[in-house]
Amino acid sequence: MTRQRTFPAPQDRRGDELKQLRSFCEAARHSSITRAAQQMQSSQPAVSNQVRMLEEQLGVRLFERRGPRVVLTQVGDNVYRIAMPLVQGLLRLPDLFADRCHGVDPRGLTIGAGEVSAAYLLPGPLERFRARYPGVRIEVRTGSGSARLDWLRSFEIDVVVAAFDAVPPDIEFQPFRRSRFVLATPEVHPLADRHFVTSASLAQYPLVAPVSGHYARQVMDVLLRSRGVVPRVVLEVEGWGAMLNHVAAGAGIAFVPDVAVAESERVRKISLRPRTFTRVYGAATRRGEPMMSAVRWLVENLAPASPDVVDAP
Amino acid sequence: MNQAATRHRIRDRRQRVRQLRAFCLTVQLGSVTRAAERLELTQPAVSLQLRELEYECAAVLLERSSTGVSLTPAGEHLYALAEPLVRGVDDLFGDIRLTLDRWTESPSPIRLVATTAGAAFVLPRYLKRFHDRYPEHPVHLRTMLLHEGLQRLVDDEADLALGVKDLHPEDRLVYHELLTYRLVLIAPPDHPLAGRASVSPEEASAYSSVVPPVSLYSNEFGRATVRRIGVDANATVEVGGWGVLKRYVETGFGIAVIPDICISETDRLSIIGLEADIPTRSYGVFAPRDRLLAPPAWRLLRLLVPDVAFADGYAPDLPSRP
Repeated sequence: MTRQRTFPAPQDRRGDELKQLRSFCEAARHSSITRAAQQMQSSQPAVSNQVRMLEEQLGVRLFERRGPRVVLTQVGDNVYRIAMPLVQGLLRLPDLFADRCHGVDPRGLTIGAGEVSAAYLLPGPLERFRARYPGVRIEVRTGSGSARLDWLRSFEIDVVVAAFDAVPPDIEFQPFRRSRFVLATPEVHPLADRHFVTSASLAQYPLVAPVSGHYARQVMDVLLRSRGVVPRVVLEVEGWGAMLNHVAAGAGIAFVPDVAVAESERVRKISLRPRTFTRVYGAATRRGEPMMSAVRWLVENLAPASPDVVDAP
Repeated sequence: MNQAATRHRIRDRRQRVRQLRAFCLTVQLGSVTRAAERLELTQPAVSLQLRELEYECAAVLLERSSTGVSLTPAGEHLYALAEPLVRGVDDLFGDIRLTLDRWTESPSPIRLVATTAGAAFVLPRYLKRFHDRYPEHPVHLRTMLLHEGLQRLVDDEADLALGVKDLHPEDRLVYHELLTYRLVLIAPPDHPLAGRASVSPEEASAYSSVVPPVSLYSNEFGRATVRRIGVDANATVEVGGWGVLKRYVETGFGIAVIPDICISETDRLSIIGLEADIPTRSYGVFAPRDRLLAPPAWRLLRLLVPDVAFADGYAPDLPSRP
């Protein structure tokens, strides 16, 4: 037991707010008191106790039930969304302070990226980042769109670099690149010398397509079907690089994002008319949260020296 | 566990919120003494917290003088970072219900603008479906002239705009047609023209009429058409709003030319075609071309235009897995 003041101030009666909030947030994030205790290098009863104290302090029930797995109540879910940034802000405060005062580089930079961004859009900027911030360990994680946002919201990553269709209100989005789908054909192909093609004119040609379930496959199917074309898929391949290799080898033609073929000399890149399926690539960060200056530097230096840069929305 | 290690751990995090609160209050109140009063602590206790904070930050944060305290540059940095956190913790512990209310209010409404015809006669059925499906998304619908609405869209003061397809569409906007309409003549049921399938402009111009103000036609087209037909020559009254105008026609003030989308089955009106070469017009929704819509506005656009994903400027509402 710690020393008690004779007349505890209201704030002091609260106990250690950071510890309570952190115990709650870790438990909520892992749906488990035990996992939270491991994360905090504490014991399961200690974390349980902190959560109970927080519930008493706030006067609300945060978890539905206690047991091996804990489930947030509706209120608990809202408290989590408010508390998580506070906890992370307090834990990150020393690093941010050092960054602001002395320009101390972060220990690492963790990026959540989409497949196209990781493979084609990030290498250049990350090379420049390494020159500017040598010694900072860089990690690029790929995952689904919702997983990337979850990582960002739970402070597991610093920034998401990916295509966004819509931006949730708690996310700040800075676009740097727009990409369209184009048709990739082998060097020798009846369509190879065309300046542009329409979807309807593709009916007769074998297609190399993303695996079913991939967003681009759904887009392709609906696009072709809306033009009355039944796609002749001869090969399903995962990954744009692999798809392009198959196109170059002559397996068929493919719809691919233009950024994925920019460097490739082995296939022909033909515009689609009408221009279709634009995606906007950008950097997503937590709205209103202070950023390490290295992260801000990356966000501001993602744009390639290319004319196809979109205006900030 | 030796005493030094214990002291270090205590200092490390346990006191963090308290130290930062003391620091922020001292800055806000301009003196350690006043901060101590507010915190119901002694002045030496607050001074100790501040010294510990400075020790941990390895920086002088406050300049003490006879007139009070002021921030050093390092103190400015810390204050900017710490103040929102201390305020957030105190709000959360102070009155959680207020904090939660503020949180749940935060979903921003969809900013929708529409011309009068669309707001009154096109949107209701769509918005009903939208509300049934997404009761959590509030919609703020403002009625205004088309060019005003489009300007708002360009300026990011609106998410979507409904109106007549303009003859010179904005480059930065994408248009999706919802329906087409024609201008028709309406007359009260007991009017000499009532029941006729169609009339010529010459014939129509012989009767007294009700006209809307110029602005209601959205653009020169409607007004020019009416002028060509000659209906406005004998205007008895000029009224704003298509619904109001219909009431005047029903009451017997005269005939009128209105878009057929503004007529409903319950109107006691005779609808008469115009024997003039008037093209059908396209009514639809304008959306920004490059700006990304917030998810609620995107859902509304998807409901209005189910195949919107395949128009230029949009990506579909599918899991983004590039």
